[in-house]
Amino acid sequence: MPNRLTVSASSTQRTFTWYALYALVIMLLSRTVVGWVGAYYEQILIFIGINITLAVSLNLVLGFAGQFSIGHAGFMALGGYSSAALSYFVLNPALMSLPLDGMLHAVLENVALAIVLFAGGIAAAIAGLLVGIPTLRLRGDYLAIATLGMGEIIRVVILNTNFVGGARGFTDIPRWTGFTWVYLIAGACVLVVRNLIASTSGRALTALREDEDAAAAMGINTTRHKVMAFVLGAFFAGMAGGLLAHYMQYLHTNSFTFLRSIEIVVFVVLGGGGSITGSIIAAAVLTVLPEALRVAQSWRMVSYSLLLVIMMLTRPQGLMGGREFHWSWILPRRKQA
Amino acid sequence: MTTPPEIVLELTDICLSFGGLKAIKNVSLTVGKRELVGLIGPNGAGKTTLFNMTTGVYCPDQGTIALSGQTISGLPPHEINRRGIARTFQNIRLWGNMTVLDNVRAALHKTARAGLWQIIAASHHHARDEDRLREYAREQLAYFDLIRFENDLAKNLPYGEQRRLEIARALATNPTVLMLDEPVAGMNTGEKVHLMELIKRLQADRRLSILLIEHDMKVVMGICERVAVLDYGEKIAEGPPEAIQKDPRVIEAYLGAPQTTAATN
Ligand SMILES: Nc1ncnc2c1ncn2[C@@H]1O[C@H](COP(=O)(O)OP(=O)(O)OP(=O)(O)O)[C@@H](O)[C@H]1O
Ligand SMILES: [Mg+2]
Repeated sequence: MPNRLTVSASSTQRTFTWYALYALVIMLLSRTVVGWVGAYYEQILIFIGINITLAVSLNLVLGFAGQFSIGHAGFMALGGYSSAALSYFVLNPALMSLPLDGMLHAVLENVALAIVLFAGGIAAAIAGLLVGIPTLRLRGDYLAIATLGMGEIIRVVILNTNFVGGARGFTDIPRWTGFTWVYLIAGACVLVVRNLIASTSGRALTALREDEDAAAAMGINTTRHKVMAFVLGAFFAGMAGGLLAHYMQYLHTNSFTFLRSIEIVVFVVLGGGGSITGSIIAAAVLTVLPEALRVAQSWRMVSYSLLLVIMMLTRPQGLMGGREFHWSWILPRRKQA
Repeated sequence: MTTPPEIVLELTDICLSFGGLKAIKNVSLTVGKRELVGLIGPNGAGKTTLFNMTTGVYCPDQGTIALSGQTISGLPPHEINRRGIARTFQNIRLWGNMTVLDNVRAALHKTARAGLWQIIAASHHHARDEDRLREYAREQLAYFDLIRFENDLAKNLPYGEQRRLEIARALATNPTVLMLDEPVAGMNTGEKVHLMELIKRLQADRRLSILLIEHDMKVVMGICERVAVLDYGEKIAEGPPEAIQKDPRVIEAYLGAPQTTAATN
């Protein structure tokens, strides 16, 4: 027993140690490789990071909890616009008015970014809560249509909100983010989802995906768990929106149509619902693919779609088929004594 | 005769209609403390519907359902389970793509003590809680002779083992009343005897009240202390097994209409 206790007690430390190590690697990369590859490849890397966050957070809702939500772009838009509004109207003017030297300015800029990203996530999470409570009683296709409608409503409302640019788009958002922040958030998203699904709440979510009535009959509050997954998913989608806003310096509602939501669904389905590593790989591959296919010129999107069809036909359960990547797949197994 | 046991589950004058179909008509039924009650009746008599009402899937149109004196009709299924009623399903409803161990661990969900933040930060409190749940779940699996399957997906288990796992899962929610919907359906005679012995042993070990649906009269007669008979949504008889077997209304319900004579499965 004492042995087990010491093992368990270190798990928080282990979690944070891993994350700190990861953060260190990311910062190192951003100082070296990312600088060398040039702006074009850096942008692709950043989009990959944002898409990983979106895919993994949707996987929690779609792959693990089995709730067919196709409104992720709506949450992303809400997070993006609210964080941009906060930085554009409040924090950036405040930051500019302070007579600061370079170092302190940079530090405060990062603090401000953390605040606006969090605020964007919270805005999306609140929307997720308000939308989730009534709609998550619906099942299957009905839920899909309700979330699709919700995403479109958010988009149209933003389109008609003049102070965030309306149909002209939101311009001059401060450029506060880059490679490091994008991957810090993506890593946090992966960590949170991984810890959640490996826990008793994760099993409850999977149980309700597998058979909702049986889950309820075994004492699992299905509505509460669905809403929890939905809100957490929305939170990270909102953060991803905030990252996009403060990298691109420009937002337009056209980037958040339901086609964007579908794209995220494709990441999850193609990677294999219920596999975090699957989502990561699919998000990366499908972000790179359209770029790599530029050689096909006007056949680019046709070949992209064709590749999707082929992948789905040959591996309908997704790349990872619900399993996670494990080091034992590539490293030789230790011989058992 | 001994004094009747204290009543745990009490259904009073229950009615339920599906549109025009009166599925349950003024049924009253009690299950005493540590009693094993059989519920029999021909196909479509309303047995499963009665289970569904008791576990909160449907709310009765009329009448009340009480558990240990507290009304539970109208509560949602998860709440009723938390109050102490667990069930199995006529057509097995395991969580197929989860492992055998996780089927039991997920059913232990309400006993988990770690909060969301502790889970996300992978706190040691949560890790200890996980250890406790795993240990407890493995004990349950050992009791049901399922431990060697613990890492298999539930959907890959043989049929008889799936039935046992469903009972193990229901028991993991720590019920006072266990409701089994045709637990031995589709089994051969040897398996039936084996599972019925297990149920009997369970009842003694876990101080359970059990309500058991079964088509096969012989099976019920063997282990139940009391049997209630449902036909076309009405309770037509109730009493000790020997009396039920001789009851002319029961014989008519089972043998009267030619299409219900095949009342074996
Ligand atoms: N959700 C429902 N909607 C409409 N009718 C239903 C519903 N559930 C059950 N019924 C009907 O209610 C009646 C009772 O069905 P029930 O499943 O309770 O019978 P049963 O006694 O369990 O039969 P079996 O022995 O075949 O399992 C049947 O006529 C059935 O068709
Ligand atoms: Mg039935």
